[in-house]
Amino acid sequence: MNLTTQLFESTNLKLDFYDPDKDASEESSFTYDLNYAWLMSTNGIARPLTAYEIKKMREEQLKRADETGTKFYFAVRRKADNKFLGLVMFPWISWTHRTAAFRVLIGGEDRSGEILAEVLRMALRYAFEELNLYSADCTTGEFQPEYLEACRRAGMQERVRQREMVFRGGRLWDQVMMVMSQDDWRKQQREE
Amino acid sequence: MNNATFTGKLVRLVVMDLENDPQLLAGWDQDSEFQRFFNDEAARRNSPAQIRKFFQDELACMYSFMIERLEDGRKIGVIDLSGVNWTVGNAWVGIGIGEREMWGRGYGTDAMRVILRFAFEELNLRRVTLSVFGFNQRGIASYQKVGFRHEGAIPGALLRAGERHDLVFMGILRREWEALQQNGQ
Repeated sequence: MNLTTQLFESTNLKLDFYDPDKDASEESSFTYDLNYAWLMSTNGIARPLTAYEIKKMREEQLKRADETGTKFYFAVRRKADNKFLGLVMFPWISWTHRTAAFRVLIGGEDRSGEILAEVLRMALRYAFEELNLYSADCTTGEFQPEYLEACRRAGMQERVRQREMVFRGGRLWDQVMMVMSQDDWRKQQREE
Repeated sequence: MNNATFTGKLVRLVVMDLENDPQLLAGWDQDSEFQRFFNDEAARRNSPAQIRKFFQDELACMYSFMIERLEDGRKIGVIDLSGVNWTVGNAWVGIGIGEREMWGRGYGTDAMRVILRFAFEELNLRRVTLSVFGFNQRGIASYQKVGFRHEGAIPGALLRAGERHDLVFMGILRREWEALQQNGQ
């Protein structure tokens, strides 16, 4: 990893700017997958959203990102055909503590473990190589097994398990916080 | 006045007096140690007007109370439930005892018992969640005393005075709280 490393590209994917006019309608179709919608929600309640709602929400988030400099949003696109696959979001960063909660949202038929792991690694690389964070975390659970497994494959560790904190599919699930520190990231880079 | 729901053995919870309490809260903020135990953001000085505006904006989406001593009616801290997720029945609780001579005297523990009773018996919540800083051992002991269980920690997530500290997460389920009530706690 050095200054010539392309932060916004991986083998199959790229991080791009989010275009509310074009991407919101595609994202709306993703929200019928309530795993995607749950990761979008701020109150833990997953539901399909209209393109109008998503466009308005993303425009507000991008405006806040411009104003504050503490939030970062990327569209994830397939390099081969520029297809919109989802987002990488850093909606909350503490510069005091150099920590962040981030989210990776991948929708539609592209929501495979391989794609998730590839996006997660790009998100973590951005967190540590560019934002210089001490640690970064994301929230999921066994109701999203492919997401949880992708986090583990990317080198993140389960650190917090909040019992019965999520209601999905007619039952309660534990909410799991997966965490990686910059030290662990550097160790992983040296070993690869 | 019948406010048995909000009365404990040492304290009662009362709604905020938006005219006068912001002055009290602003005074507590002068104590940076209090702020560093209470909040993970950089300690700062908020004016009573800023504090009043915060509560005017937020009261509709949180259950916020001042902690008042039974023996003399003195207001010594603040406690709230916020971030309620009604689908799963969870809320986050936050507490701060602003008067430092009241630290370690059981007022916070009693206030927490009162707000848990409100959370489970009146709001019909299923769990209550909190986060606490690893250096706040007095707080962690107090939360364990009322039944909160350790649910993990983000290592070194807080940087204070050049040292890293864990951000600890704790939670209590209603059935755990009910079992404690049956055991007389």
